[in-house]
Parts: sequence; C-alpha cells; structure tokens
Amino acid sequence: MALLKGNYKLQKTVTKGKLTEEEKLEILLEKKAHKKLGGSMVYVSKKKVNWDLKPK
Amino acid sequence: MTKSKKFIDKIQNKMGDVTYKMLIKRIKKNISYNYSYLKKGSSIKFLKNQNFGKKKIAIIIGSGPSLKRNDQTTVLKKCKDKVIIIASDGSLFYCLKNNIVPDLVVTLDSHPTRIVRWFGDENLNLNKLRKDDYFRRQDLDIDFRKEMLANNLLLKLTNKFGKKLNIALCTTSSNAVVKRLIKMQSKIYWWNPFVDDPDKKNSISRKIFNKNKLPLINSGGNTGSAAWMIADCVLGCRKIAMIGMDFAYYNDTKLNRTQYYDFLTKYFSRKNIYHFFKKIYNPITKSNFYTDHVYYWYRKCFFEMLSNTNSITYNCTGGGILFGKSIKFVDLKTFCNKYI
Repeated sequence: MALLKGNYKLQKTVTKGKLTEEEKLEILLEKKAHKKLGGSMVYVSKKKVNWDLKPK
Repeated sequence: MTKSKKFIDKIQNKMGDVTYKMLIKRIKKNISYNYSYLKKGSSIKFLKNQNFGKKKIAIIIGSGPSLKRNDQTTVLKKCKDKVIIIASDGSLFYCLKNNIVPDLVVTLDSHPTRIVRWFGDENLNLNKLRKDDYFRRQDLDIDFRKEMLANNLLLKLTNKFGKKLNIALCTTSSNAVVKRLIKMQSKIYWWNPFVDDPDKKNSISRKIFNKNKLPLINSGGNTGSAAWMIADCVLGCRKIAMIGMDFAYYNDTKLNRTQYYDFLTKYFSRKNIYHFFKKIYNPITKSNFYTDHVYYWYRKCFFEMLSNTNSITYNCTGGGILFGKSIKFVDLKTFCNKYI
C-alpha cells in the first residue's frame, strides 16, 4: 500500500488526546482478556440449539 | 459512581469477545481430550422432550447466594416428585445434603481444578488449598469455606447418589470433572456449547460438531443459564421456575467475597476495581443488590434468551437482579400451589 505523505507543514502541532481513566481500563481489560476476566462460557447471540448442522 | 456505571455499561459489548479470548484455547483442549470419553455417555439428544415421569414443568436450582439465604428446601421437598428438578453443578451439594436428588445436573465450566470440587475432589490436599483460595472466599455456598470437611462430605454424598444422577456434561468440562463423573457412575449426556456462529467462515462450533456430532446448545455464558436453556429447548418445558439465580451479590457481601475479586485486584489497582461493580435496586424486593461486569453480562444474555422463547419463566429466587417484563417474579410456594 502506497503511503500518501503531505508536502506541507501544519501551523498547529497536533497532539494525541489524553485517554480517560475509563478508556485506560478498557484497554487493559482487553489486554488481560486471556486471564479470568470473562464469563464461564461463550454466549452466541440469538442461538438456541442445533441438533444437526446442514453441510456447507 | 457515575463513572463506574458508564464503564460497566460500556464494556458489556466487549464481554463476549473477552470471554471468547480467555477461554477458546482451553475449550479446544478439553473438547479434544474428551473425545475419547464420549463413549462413556450418550448424546443429550436422548433427553429431548424427556419428562422423567413428571409434569413438564422445571425448577432450575442455581447456586446464587439467595439459595442459602432464602432456604426453600421445605417447598422443594414437597414438589420434587412432581416437577423436573435441574441443578447447576454449584448447587448439587445443597441438594444432596437436603436429600433432594435432581433429575438433571448441568456442568460446563472448563476450569481445570475448581469445578470438580462441586462433585467432590478425591485428590484434594493442603497443597491444592494453598494454591487457590476461591472456595474459602466465594459467596455462593458458605459451607465450602470449611474446605476439607465439605469435600469429604460431598465425596460421601456423590458416591452414594452418583448412580442416580443424570449429568448434562458439556464437552468443554475438565479432565478432572469427566473422570470424577465416570467414577461416580452417573449417567452422562454430552453436549457442545456454541462458541461462535456455525454459519460463519472457519467456525469453531461447526468444527467441533463435525468431529463429535453432538448437539450445540447456547449456554448463556454460565451454568444456571445453560440449565434454563436445556429446560426450554431440550426438555421442552413451557413453565420454568428458578431459584438461586441472583446474578448479583447481597449488599452486605464484602468485595473480597465476590467472584472475580482476586483477578480484578491482580490486574487493576484497588481504587479501579470499583469501576467493575454496579448497584441495582430491585423494586420487587425493595432492596439494593450489587453486581459485577460478568454477572451483569450474564443478565443481559439471559434477557436476550428470554426474548427468544415461548416458555414462561418465573423467578422464585427472592432476590437478585433478574426482574423485568419478560420474567414473572413470584415466590416458589405460590408457583407450586398454582401449577403443580
């Protein structure tokens, strides 16, 4: 993929917005997701039971 | 408080992914290991529309703290021969101690060492106890805090009643649980959990099904909800009552007694763990309960399950946070008098 690079300089320096405490926690939660921070089992929305599966 | 409310609500959408990432490796390992044990049981499809010679009405016994606080054994004993009793693994000790042999026990959690304790761990020793304080801390069944004593009693009970027990055993269960159930000579009925959409490309659920041909059942994220799902779509019960299904802690429960306290304090500073809890007012019991990010997610999933059924669910727990339009909140005695 080609990199499109501007040939001009910005008048203002753009700084990254600071993360809120909640955002930091959220990132940390996802990072630690492989530890015991989730439920006992996966939940798949709108599914009940499949006695059989049609071959694909 | 406002902040914590926002955070716990915000992360609900991530809980599915977090749970998947956390469990998938262990799930695959356990399913693969259990393949050689499938012949020790049958498929859960043999329980399709089964009524165990009773009315097609189920009582689910979850292992929430209300089970002990609102002791309902008198009513349960009166109706146990007329309705289908489905116990979550965590409530088995409570049932057997009270001479209530459930028609079906559901187990699904893949944890390698903890879940076998609900059936009695023959290999429990002080070294194991030192490594894991879960049973000393947890709020579900306080009898388990006297660990060796409870384990010895449970071993006696499961050895005595083992042959009479039907177990809906998820293929994700640990090696220790599977071996214990075989030793107890219980009747095993295997099932697979949905771990993703089987119509999705490279679906793991489909791969699991293609290998063992066992039905896929949506667990709702936890054993109590899985028990409800089995009552609804396997046994075909149109009236389902529940006790011990709190998805919450009583207001007087200390934070260090909550389910995920050890992990939360391990990865987040103590001041931050409050973000994972939320207070909820139950307008029926007129009291406050508090919940955590996982229980709150279970509640959300459960309500979605309720919106996708024709059966009627009666919450006879007497506490907790499962209330709303899709669920009737009544006491167990009223439920039994009316329908049994």
